[in-house]
Amino acid sequence: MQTKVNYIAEFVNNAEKVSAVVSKKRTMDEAVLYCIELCNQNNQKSIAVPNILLAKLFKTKHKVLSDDIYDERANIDIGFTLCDHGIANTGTLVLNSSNEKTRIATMLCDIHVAVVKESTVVQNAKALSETLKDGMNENSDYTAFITGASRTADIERTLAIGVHGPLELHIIVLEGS
Amino acid sequence: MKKKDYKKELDSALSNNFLRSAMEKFAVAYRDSRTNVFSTMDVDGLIETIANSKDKSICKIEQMFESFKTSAEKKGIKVHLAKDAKAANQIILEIAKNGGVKSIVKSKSMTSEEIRLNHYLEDYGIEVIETDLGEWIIQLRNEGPSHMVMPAIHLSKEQVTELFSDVTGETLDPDIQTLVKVARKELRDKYLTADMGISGANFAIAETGTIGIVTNEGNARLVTTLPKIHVALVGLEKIVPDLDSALDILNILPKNATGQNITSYVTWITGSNECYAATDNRKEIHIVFLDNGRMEMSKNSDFAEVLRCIRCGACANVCPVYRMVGGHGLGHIYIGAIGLILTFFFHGTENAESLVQNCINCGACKDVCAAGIDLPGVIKKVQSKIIEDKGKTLSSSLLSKILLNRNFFHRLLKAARVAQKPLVGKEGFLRHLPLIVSKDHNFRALPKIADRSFRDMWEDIKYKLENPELKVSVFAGCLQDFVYPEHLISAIEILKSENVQVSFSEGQSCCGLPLEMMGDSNASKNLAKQNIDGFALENSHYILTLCGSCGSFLKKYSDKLTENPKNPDYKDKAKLFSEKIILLSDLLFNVLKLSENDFDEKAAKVLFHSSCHAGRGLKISNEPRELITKAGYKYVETTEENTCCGFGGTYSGKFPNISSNILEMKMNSYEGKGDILVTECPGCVLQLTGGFAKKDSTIEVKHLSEILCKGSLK
Repeated sequence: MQTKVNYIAEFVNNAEKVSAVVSKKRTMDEAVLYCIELCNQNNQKSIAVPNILLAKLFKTKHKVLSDDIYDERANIDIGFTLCDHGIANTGTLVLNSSNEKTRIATMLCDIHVAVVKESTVVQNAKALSETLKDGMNENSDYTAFITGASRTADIERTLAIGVHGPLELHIIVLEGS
Repeated sequence: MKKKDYKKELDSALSNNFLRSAMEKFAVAYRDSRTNVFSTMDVDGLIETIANSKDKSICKIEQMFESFKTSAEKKGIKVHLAKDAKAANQIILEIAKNGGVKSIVKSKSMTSEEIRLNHYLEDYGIEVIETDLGEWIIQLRNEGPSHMVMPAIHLSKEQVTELFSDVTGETLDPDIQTLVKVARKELRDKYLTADMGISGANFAIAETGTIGIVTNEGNARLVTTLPKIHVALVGLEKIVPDLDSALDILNILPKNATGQNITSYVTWITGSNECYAATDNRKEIHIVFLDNGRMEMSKNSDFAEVLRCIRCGACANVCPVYRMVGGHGLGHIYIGAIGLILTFFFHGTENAESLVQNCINCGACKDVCAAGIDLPGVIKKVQSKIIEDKGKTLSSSLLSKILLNRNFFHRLLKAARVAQKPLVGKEGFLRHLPLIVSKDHNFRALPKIADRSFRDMWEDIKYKLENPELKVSVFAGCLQDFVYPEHLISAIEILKSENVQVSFSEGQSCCGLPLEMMGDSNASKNLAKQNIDGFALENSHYILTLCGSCGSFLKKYSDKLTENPKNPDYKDKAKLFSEKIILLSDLLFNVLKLSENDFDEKAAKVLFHSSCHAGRGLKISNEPRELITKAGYKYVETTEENTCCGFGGTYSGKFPNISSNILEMKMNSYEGKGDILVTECPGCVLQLTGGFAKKDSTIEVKHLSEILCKGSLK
């Protein structure tokens, strides 16, 4: 148990180092509220939630996209996903994106809100090796490692966040899960 | 490129102020961030793991390809093998034509640069848009990359502003965050409307037919998601057996490339994925493997290790030549040390001939290579191969003739001593350069040839101890024998006082490194044999050298001479010879264990320059630094201690303008910080003394042996 707690601290620390905004919540409902609040603060209109069950938790005036994510792909402000794992030593999220809507929701949005359960955070990528291989043994699989927001240093080596992917990455760690 | 044109290009890079300051900042920042990111890791262990795993894959590259193909094709991916650039371009064009493709979005791929894919497709009327910010910038400028990871590192934000103002038709401010948003906006539509996406891949996993792509911007994710067709162009060397091997590489790649722990995105793609733009919602995926000489390379024992390269670009990041001239000066398409090599294999002798000479052989690249490739060693082999293929150049064959005839070489040096007399100034420097040397070499004062060489003085110096603690035979080396005999004399004084018997064999000659640097490997082997014959090995515990360069090359005699079955006699002798080689500081610190008690306290502040071949070559790093302190001096640590001084032996003759600029940077790092600059290589002494003398600096340059002696010993 002790080591697990350390992984979480290390995960949070490493994610924050690459400018992810990390917060801890106790339930998925709280995570959803956080996302809605974020949408309000930024005066944004639409939230893409590829997982239909999670989409149902959003009770809000904002436009919640799920089945229609592909058709609305040019109009996504926030993407909300539940990630499969966290990797502590790099502050990385692992998101199975075999479903194209998941890819679109997390790539074409301005803000990605990613939820990760505390129990799924591992120490390093190798610890996920067998799990990842299971996916790769499938007929098709698209798995993303996501660490911080989209970035570039291509002009004068100056860091700039938000080139092609999200401008912001918000990570919500679901405690006790 | 002709040598003359190449030198012009280098001179223009040297006079480009923005480039110079960008490269300088990068060199310093990279070094710090790499140190930080690896601070708690066993880097050498990681590098060894990668080298071993890559070697295993390289020797069965065909089998690995077949296995990848089987796994991937089972999952609906079409796998192609292109024997060369032309074939790869044709395959991709054909895919585009069959899919009715009009526009393509691309993420970064050095392999596509290798085959000039964009130009090929554009010639057939297809729009190709690079989406990596740096690649897009250089595409708009119709240039090649100047770094493998940061392709537009040579450009200023003002240049990018001008470019983007043209693209948008608006007058933009030179603000980097704004410029990045311009790219985001301009390229977003391109993703949404493109018919095909082209990516590279950092890994191709044979076991599952998966490719892995490492990016920061997120463009590869979009390129591989939105369009109905995805083509990945992958060099055959990227195939790894399984996910764990890929994860090992991923662990080191971003850290070594830019000092980043991991990139923002790593994308793993297996099989034909869901894609709404495609018919039946399944993406059409093609993986085109590029051979282009890789298969042949994998079977060549001299060059197979080149295929270990994971394209991190670190070899450029630490290269002192790259630091001066940037990537367009130090690469054709591939950049840096690996670029010098790959240009020869992928883009021919014509493009590589001048370029491959531009290695100062400092070993900084070998030291950081993520896959443990002996980059300077392979560069030498490429040089040798070019010479063999074309017949020797005049200068290298003349040099080999002179050096292989020891008596003639030594007579020549003595004759030069007489000839230089009218040119020698009061301080012992040559006043004017002899006509044979061009004015480009005037950046440092050149030392004169000593009145009496070490070998001429030997009769007066030699001594006989009754019960010596240790017997040491000295390898004098050309520079110390004929220009700086005082280094050797100082060392012998110390050794004598420590009850060490020193002997000297007349039969020795040049170590052979200058010939190796000229790419004349056969001649250097012959010199090695002469030297081995010239030493009575059984009579000494060690063969002492005061030169890091000679030392590191003498250590390689065993490797050089054991590989030839024609010389069985030399195998054991060479091994013994190499084992006995020891650098002065190693002998004094580790064997004789000199202590503080042997010296008096002194006031002088001492700076240190670690000779490349002593520090990185012989791995002698702490010893000289410790000795400076033990000898009672105040050792002042400085930032560029481990950076090459720009000498590089014959290099400074071939590229004097680069040599002088490296020297300038080195001198600036020391100026005002101390009184004496100490090093353990006469070549570095020559370069640094000459440079400081030209500047009328108060810093004195000394060989380590000189500061440990001069009455400092109690």
